[in-house]
Amino acid sequence: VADSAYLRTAWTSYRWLLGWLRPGAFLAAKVANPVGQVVLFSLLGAAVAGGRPASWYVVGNSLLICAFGGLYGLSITLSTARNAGLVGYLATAPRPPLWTLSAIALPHVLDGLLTGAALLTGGLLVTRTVPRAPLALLVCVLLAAASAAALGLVTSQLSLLARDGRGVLTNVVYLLTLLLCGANLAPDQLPAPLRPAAEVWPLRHAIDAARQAVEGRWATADLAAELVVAAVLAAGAALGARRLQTAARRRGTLDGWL
Amino acid sequence: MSRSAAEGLGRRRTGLPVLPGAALGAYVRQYVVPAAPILLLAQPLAFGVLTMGSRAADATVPATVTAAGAGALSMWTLLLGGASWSLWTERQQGRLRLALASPTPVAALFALFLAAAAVASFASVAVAVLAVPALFGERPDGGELARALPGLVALALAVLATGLALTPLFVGADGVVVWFDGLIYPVAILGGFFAPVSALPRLLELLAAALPPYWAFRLLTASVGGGPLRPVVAGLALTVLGCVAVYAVGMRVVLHRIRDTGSVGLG
Repeated sequence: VADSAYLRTAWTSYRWLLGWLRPGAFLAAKVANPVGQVVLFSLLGAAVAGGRPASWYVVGNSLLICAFGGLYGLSITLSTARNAGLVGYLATAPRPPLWTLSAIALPHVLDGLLTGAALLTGGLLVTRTVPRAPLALLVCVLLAAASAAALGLVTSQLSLLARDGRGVLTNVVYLLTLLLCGANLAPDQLPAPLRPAAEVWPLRHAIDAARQAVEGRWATADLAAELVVAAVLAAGAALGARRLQTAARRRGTLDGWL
Repeated sequence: MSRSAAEGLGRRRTGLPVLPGAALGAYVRQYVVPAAPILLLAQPLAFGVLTMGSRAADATVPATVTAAGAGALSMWTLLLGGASWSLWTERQQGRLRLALASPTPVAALFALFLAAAAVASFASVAVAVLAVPALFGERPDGGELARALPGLVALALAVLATGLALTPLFVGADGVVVWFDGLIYPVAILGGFFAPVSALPRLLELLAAALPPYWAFRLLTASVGGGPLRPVVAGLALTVLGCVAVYAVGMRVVLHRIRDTGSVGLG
């Protein structure tokens, strides 16, 4: 898929969504919001739970920020396109929807990856934490970004089936991720009914592995588990896209609600 | 229907008494999309589980206050959303120009619109303080809830005042993103919703004291857990009045700008 048309589509859609932003808006979305999230939860952890180092929250929330790009970027692009009446063109395009959707997602995933990695580096510097297995940490960040991208692809396809074009589903999925991925709460701190979902939620194992990487360990079991989660989501996205394409050819639109 | 009765009805439909209802209707109109109210419930639930889950077993802060911190964050998000994205949507869909053309003062219209957001945000607070402790097997304490009520009303007032002070800043599409994304967490941090403000550097503590949410959350804590109320109420009143003054002056400036440039809307 790494041909020039793919990259051109990726860049055009990214510019279309964010090209109107001035530096102030970009800084608010990419710096103020992520940093605020890390500070808020680090404070919560220090003041309420106690005992956990700030780096625990820095690692968790930085990887969560990676998810933000993959999850929201595609969803917002699609809902904006939907409001502008452009979703129908995706159905009639010669390329399969997954090709286009993944191209749209690509720059947001890279964007989230960069923001998360910058936040992680900055946060670890501020908390004076030196990761003892930096390569393992890098693998964790990449895996988290891949998982989040797959989750974003599945969520955005499901969003097309709902009447709402303003990303309610995406927001709910993000809130669930915030809760279940282990960035701010260990699984045993969750209410009992939520614990099974937390065991298989995307990012959960990548975050666990990243925390172990900071302490110098390669958590291969966690990395493998995250890989499985990402692969299942990616397969779901591919399957969903195929079904979406079949439905689109029949109905003349990708917009499932119409 | 007699002519005088019809005229009376007409007056009621266009007069000041219907404004609060109209504002609430305009605000709630955003939630006609069936899935949208889920967010009103999902957000406080998620943040509530985060705060309650982080709570130590031997915590001295009452559970209602801990859960209310999540409700306060939801309240603030709704108000900030009302002051930013909702007004932006009104502008995008061409309704803002109608509001500007109406004889009703625009400042009053926007204030009522945001007040409607404050009223709607009580649904989020109810979820946070009632449902979240139950998820952790804690029974809601009726007495604690009753004592928390004035503090929660004060919180709604505080976030409303803060939202009002920011409304004139939404002078363009860019502004929406800047202020919405940039202010959710800082105000939650300075308001002490999740953790005491005393944990912050001194300068930030002083900044927090300039904002109504800080005083409102202190009022909530004092009314539930005990403590002197008078200085907290005074601080809240002072900061709320300050925000209202900022709103009044800011709206004058914005409206002048709109008349000067001839551009309808806030952009």
